[in-house]
Amino acid sequence: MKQICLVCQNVDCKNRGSEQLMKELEKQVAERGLSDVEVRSYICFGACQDGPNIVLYPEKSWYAGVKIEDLNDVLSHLAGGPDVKRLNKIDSSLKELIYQLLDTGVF
Amino acid sequence: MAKISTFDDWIARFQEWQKDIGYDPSLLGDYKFETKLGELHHAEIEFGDFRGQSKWKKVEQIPNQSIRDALLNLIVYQGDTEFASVEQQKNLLDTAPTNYDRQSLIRVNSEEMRHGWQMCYLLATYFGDSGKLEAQKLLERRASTGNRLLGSFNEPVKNWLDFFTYTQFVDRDGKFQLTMLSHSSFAPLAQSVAAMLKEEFFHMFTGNTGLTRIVRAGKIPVSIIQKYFNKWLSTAYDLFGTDHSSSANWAYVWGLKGRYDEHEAKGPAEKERLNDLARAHFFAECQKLVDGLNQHIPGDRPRLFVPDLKFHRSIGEFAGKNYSLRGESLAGDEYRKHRTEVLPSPEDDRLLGEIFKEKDWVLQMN
Repeated sequence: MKQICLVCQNVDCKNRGSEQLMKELEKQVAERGLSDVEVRSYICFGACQDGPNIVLYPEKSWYAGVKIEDLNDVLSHLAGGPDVKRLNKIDSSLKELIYQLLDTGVF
Repeated sequence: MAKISTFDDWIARFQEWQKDIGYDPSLLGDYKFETKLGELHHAEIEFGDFRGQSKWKKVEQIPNQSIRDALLNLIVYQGDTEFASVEQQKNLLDTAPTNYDRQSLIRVNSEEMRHGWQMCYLLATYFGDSGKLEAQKLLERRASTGNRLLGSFNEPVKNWLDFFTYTQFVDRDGKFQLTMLSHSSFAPLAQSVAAMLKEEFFHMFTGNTGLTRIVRAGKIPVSIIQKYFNKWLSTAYDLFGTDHSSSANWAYVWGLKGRYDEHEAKGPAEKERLNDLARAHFFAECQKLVDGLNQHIPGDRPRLFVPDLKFHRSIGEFAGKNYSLRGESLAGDEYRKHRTEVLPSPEDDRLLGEIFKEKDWVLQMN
């Protein structure tokens, strides 16, 4: 199944480096030939203080406070490796609301 | 009414406040009100005359009464906005466009109540009798009677366009205020607002995604959305305070409240213009968000925009002056006519009421 990597690009996360993070993620996905992974910008996840955020969908893994140096582990996970537990910081009730939003397909 | 003597007494008053404003606590499910403390940016005071000293952990460590009074005042104003916003929004629960929106509103309300709780905890725990009295008064003022401390928090929130616009822009002012306080020389305040900031972002997210859903649905005329922007943004500008504020100056000198970009600002602060500069940051951020919304408006329709900082102001240099949405100076009669045309009117309310009868005014969540 195709995994979509949603990278938040609202004003606060951009200030925290999400644009550069997304470019680097796109580059590394291409370099590794992860053809079943698509990187997309996302409006916001409502967790900007912990941003930049990456949500993997439909898998529903949420990585917060992601830095460029974390991408290797995130990409390994996308290639079938383990979860990156240290980046799993978001409370479950917020996850539930945002996943509900994603499931609707509105954004 | 008897005065409170402990924080537990205050909690009992808080429950009475919920009842008095008609907020059913069972809506909150298993939500637990608690005080939360985040991390300090620095253990030492970050700016002002006391820079480099350890942050104050108790009020007794604060060097003089003027600083203590200014600190208490900052906490009171912050707390007042939190309870007021719940009073303003509670009536929308029955008209939520989707169950998701209802859940989001309940989350926003519960966190605003918790933020008010947190400010009252600080007042009751650290500021003696005067703090307890202020904590009590925070539950006695009402948005509905217009005696909340700041203008935005006495304005009516009548419908979900109001709510999404409010959370997009007024809660964003909240983010600015909390960010500036997160550098405070009073450690319990800095730690409190660090935790509150995390939660505030979901509120802004609710506004931004809600407005995006409205714009994409294309049923509410852009001209009406613009009027709601005019209403809430002009009052949000006022929330930053007067242009050349001596209170903001002293709050900075005493290390109580920093610049919005304190963590990355280079050079000394322009202490005479602190409020004005924070407002300019806010304006620029709102501009980017509105640009994002405009991407969803078809090319043949008018664009949304951020009103000029001089429009419809109630405090500061432009208070009571006759500036248009675009910042042009108008004659008195011309301005009064303009203001009537660009702020929400009873006719707009009526039209929105018709639009809200159909579900398609906002993208549905199913």
